[in-house]
Amino acid sequence: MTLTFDQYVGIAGLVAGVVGVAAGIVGVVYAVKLDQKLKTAQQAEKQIEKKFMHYMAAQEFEELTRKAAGMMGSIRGREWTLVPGLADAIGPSLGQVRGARNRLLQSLEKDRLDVAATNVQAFIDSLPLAGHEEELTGDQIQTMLLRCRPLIDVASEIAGRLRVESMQQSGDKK
Amino acid sequence: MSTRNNAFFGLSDDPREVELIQSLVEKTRQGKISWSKQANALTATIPRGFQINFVLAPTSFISPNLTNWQLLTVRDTSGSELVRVTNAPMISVLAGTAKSALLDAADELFKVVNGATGDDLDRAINAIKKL
Repeated sequence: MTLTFDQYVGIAGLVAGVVGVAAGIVGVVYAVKLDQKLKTAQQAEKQIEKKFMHYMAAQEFEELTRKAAGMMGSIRGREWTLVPGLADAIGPSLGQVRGARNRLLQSLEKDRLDVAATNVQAFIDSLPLAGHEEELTGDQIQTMLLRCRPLIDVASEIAGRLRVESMQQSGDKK
Repeated sequence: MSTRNNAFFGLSDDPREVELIQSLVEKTRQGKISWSKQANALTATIPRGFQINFVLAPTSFISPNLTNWQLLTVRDTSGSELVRVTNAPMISVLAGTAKSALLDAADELFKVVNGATGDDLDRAINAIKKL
């Protein structure tokens, strides 16, 4: 039996159709796999962003702690020429970190930061005018230190928590 | 939410805020709210997710045993502030203003909570003595 030209064309069309369907299936499978890879990559990217955000926030709170500790050191050392400048820098830094990292903070941390800010303000208000520093008594200096202490306590605690959380996030996803 | 400085605007308290704090006083007295003492704070989480925080004032070196509070907040489940009371005794004294009803209620709550945490300590002492 010999095949006619039309039959050859028909068989060729059938084979081409089967190959086309197979290629389509392979294409769909490949696309699904690519989509999964993309989603995984997006999740990984989000995770890295979150980790980086925690890391940056931890650094900012550590910096705030360092500034406050430095200021307390200057108060103890009665370095009155340095203290006003340090005090004026702390207020905006605290407000900036508090505002920028609000979403990462727990309710109690927010409250404690607010109280720390109030105490820092009270401390700034209690600073003596230039030339009157020698009139400060030991009790007054102790009160100044007392007003700075809450900021160091809460900022260092937040920094510690955020740093640990940034490390845990990377470990959890492994 | 109240964000007023209560020392100066004491008479404009929202009565519902006062009622809320007084309810907390009552439930704490009944032992239905469990408070926990943390560093510089007293906190409680009550059913339906309300979070109450007392932030303590720095302890004075002159009177280290005298504990006072500086901020009281009550938040709902979403973290929105329902009540915020600031305690600034020095301002109140200097301004010669009377304490607001809200501040009075918050003060009362603090005394009850502080007493309750003291009771916990007594219970711990007694438990250890009985060992």
